[in-house]
Amino acid sequence: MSRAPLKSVAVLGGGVASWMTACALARVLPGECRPVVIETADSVPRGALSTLPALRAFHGLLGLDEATLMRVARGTYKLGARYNGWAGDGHDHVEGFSDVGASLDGVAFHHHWLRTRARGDAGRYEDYSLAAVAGRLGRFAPPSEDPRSVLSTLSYGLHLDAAAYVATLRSAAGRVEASTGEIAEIALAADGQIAAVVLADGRRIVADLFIDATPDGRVIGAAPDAAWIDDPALPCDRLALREVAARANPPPLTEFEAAPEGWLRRVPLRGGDAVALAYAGDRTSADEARDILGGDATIVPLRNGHRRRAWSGNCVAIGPAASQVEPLNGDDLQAIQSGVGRLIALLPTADGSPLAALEYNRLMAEEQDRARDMAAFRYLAATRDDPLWIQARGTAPSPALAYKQAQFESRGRVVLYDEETFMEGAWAGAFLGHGITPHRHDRLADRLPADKADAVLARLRGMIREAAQAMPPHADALRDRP
Amino acid sequence: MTDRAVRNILIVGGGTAGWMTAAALSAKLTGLPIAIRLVESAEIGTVGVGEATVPHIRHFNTALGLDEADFMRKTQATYKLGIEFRGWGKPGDSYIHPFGAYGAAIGGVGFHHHWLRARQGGDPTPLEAYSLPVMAARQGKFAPPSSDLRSVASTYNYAYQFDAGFYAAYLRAYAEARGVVRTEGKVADVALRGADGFIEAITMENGERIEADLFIDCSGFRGLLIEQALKAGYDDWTRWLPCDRAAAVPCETVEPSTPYTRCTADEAGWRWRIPLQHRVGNGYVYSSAHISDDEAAAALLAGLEGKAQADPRFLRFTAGHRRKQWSRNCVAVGLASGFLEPLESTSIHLIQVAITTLLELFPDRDCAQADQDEYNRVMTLEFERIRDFLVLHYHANQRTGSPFWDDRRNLPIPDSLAYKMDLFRDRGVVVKYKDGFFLEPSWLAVYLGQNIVPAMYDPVSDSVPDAALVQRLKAIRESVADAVRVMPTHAEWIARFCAASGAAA
Repeated sequence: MSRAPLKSVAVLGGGVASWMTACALARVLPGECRPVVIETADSVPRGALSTLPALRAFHGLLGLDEATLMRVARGTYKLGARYNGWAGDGHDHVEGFSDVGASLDGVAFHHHWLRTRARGDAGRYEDYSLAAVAGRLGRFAPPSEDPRSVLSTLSYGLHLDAAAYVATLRSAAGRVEASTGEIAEIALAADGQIAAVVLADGRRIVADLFIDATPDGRVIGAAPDAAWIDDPALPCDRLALREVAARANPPPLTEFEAAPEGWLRRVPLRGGDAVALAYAGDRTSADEARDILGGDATIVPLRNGHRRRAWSGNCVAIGPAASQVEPLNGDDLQAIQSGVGRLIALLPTADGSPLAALEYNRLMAEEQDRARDMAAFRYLAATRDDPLWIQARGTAPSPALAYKQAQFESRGRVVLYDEETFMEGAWAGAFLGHGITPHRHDRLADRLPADKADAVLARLRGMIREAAQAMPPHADALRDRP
Repeated sequence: MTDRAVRNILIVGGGTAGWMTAAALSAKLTGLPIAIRLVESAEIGTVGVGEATVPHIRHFNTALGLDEADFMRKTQATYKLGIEFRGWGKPGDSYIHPFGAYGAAIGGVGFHHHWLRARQGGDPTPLEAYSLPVMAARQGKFAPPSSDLRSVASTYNYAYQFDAGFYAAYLRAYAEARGVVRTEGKVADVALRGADGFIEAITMENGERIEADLFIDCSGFRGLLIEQALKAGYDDWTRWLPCDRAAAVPCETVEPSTPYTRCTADEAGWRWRIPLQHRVGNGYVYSSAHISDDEAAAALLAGLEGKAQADPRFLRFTAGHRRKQWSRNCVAVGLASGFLEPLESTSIHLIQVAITTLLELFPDRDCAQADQDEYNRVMTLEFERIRDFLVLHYHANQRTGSPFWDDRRNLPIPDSLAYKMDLFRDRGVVVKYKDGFFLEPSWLAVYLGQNIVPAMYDPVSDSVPDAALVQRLKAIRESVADAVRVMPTHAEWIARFCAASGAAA
């Protein structure tokens, strides 16, 4: 090795981004390099997390036991997300974490569904998703490994309490040195590198690599070419957070309900439901937001956008410091998990790795844009006529999103670019759920005789309904995994 | 089915592209009321340079339901585990670009980083010792891969080397049996519709007028429909890929056929060697600005291992692709859509991608602009990503003192390739993307095979202790060597499984 390995890494901020990064780095950094975490007061995590199935792989890498994690972090199961009121009153759809139907005769299922629907009753698209059907019924069972079982089409994410999740990560972090401190000053070297982070208590943190995991990116903000770029596609800039009483059998779903002021999110946790209202501060006051949530609530700022460079010099921003998108896809922590994973794959040396930074920034920007497109799409497809919604609809989609939506509208084609968080099934589910109907289906679907296709669909729907009804209630599934 | 549905398709041109298209459409459109016709003239020769393939061809054949042994016997086919590149880094170098992985990731870190680490520590073992297909190819052995994913014998794939003329004939029989109607003759005229410029009909030299809803242009380089009638335009990539001619000649087989294709760098381009059961296909792809046709032919003949079976045939081409490979109601497939020299055996692969993409976007009669846009986006990306990979072979050379090769090394390359090479040189990172044919092992084979060695390996490799790494490398090496030891020779396997009658094997 011609270049010296990292000798020191400092992680600034104490939230989920900070601890996910510290935990993952501690496993791969050279033995003599222990990550140092400085926990700032404003990094205390709040509210709940609604995550994708992919997060479970991250837990696997860290060796976190899921049952323990769920117990400590008030975890419940998540089979998908329910959206209601987005396309006007009465709109209600679920995007589930499972295959929808099955590819028939080599043609994606949604084309067969469109075809049957055009001729008569095909039910809802989600009726063919075991996760969606079970989610609505408030039932849960773990996926099966037997490919012949309909349960093998399932996957699941987790609902977690953010503060308790951090506590779990902290206890599993191993060789990490953590302390509390407040950032007073960022000392830059002549070349734009961060020479030191000076703390209010006088400590001077010097490291080969600084990770900015603060809520607002106050460290990366001092680095060259790392300015924040606002994203006008999304209208909300505040989250009001509150917890309400648990339901007897909460559905294993995150629920997103459109409201005149923005949208409401409900995440079931053990012992209570975490609710949040996303709204725009210039249209709705904090008191109004609290009234909507029905009581006292914590207000936290939200700033849709991203850094021009998430990695600049010897500083990498991960989490909200790097990018923020209204959390309405149920993909909390995905950007952090991906940022950490890519950082490890492109781990710099002590003297810096400008090409690695270039590649990291390219990949993260692309991924960020695609996830933002999914959130922006939900606003663009909405048909509400409240001022905030009209404003959001008036924002031009990114060229990538405009193309993707036009392709789906034309013939149900799902275009996937290089760094997509959401794959074909997720995009098809979102498009159809939000009311985008292709002008025509894939003609190759017509190879299957119509009556035969109808029969296959009816059988699939019945089989999925039966399988869902055979699952235990979500509350029982949680009780059985104490 | 709406009344906008395509009712008939006309394929213009036979050859590999035409008959692959006819066969695939006849198989995949079964059950739909669509008539497929193909016009070709026996007087127009087919190019048939695509005699070596990549493993995707197996999906194509499987989708058609072809019987592998029968197909191989009828096309004089041999197996292909990769391509040997001779003299591409420095004169005398040799590496094989295999259809398979090198080793396996250790501790979540790509194998080549561990190999680089061992190499920096003084271990001289070449990377190819960790590749089963390379080791088997070097020893002239072949067996199909195992389906047991835990076995080292599952870590590779294979393709074929076959006679493209026989393959076209084989697929012709297949397509005609499924209702494709073939018409012999030359096209005299192409009529466009006034309203929208769509192709309305073609007129044959004998006066017969043939209408269709959808036209597939498989007429070769000239692009009878896509270019001559529809003026699709051409993106010329000569500045990056200056070879514009090829001379081709078959010769007799004198040694057992090798389970790999060979590409040997030469004065003004490169020579191919493709062993079939009954003969060896040879060719010289060259830049006419650097040597004459006569010199190229002489070099080609001088390099033959057996007696030439014909006089060299000459081909002319321009690297690049049609700006619109789908324009109005015409889709160009094969050489009509563009040309990339067959250095990585991608000619048939590009035909296959075109057919697959057309089927994915199969249009109505109005050929929605959205379908054309998406098709052209996908195909352009495919061409560009293959182009970068080909340019890498030329650019990363150390053949100093040769005008052709000095230019290749010194002249600018596409930015997208420069970026990829910079990252690899810096730290052994292979840039990944979703679409595009060549994956990490392919890029590794060429980078390392042509002496581009990263300045450092992934530092996370160091989380695997030295002793554990040494042991693991040894275990992988030995499992590869053991697996190769028990494989039959390529000739034995062909004789057992798919020998053509009268073949020399």
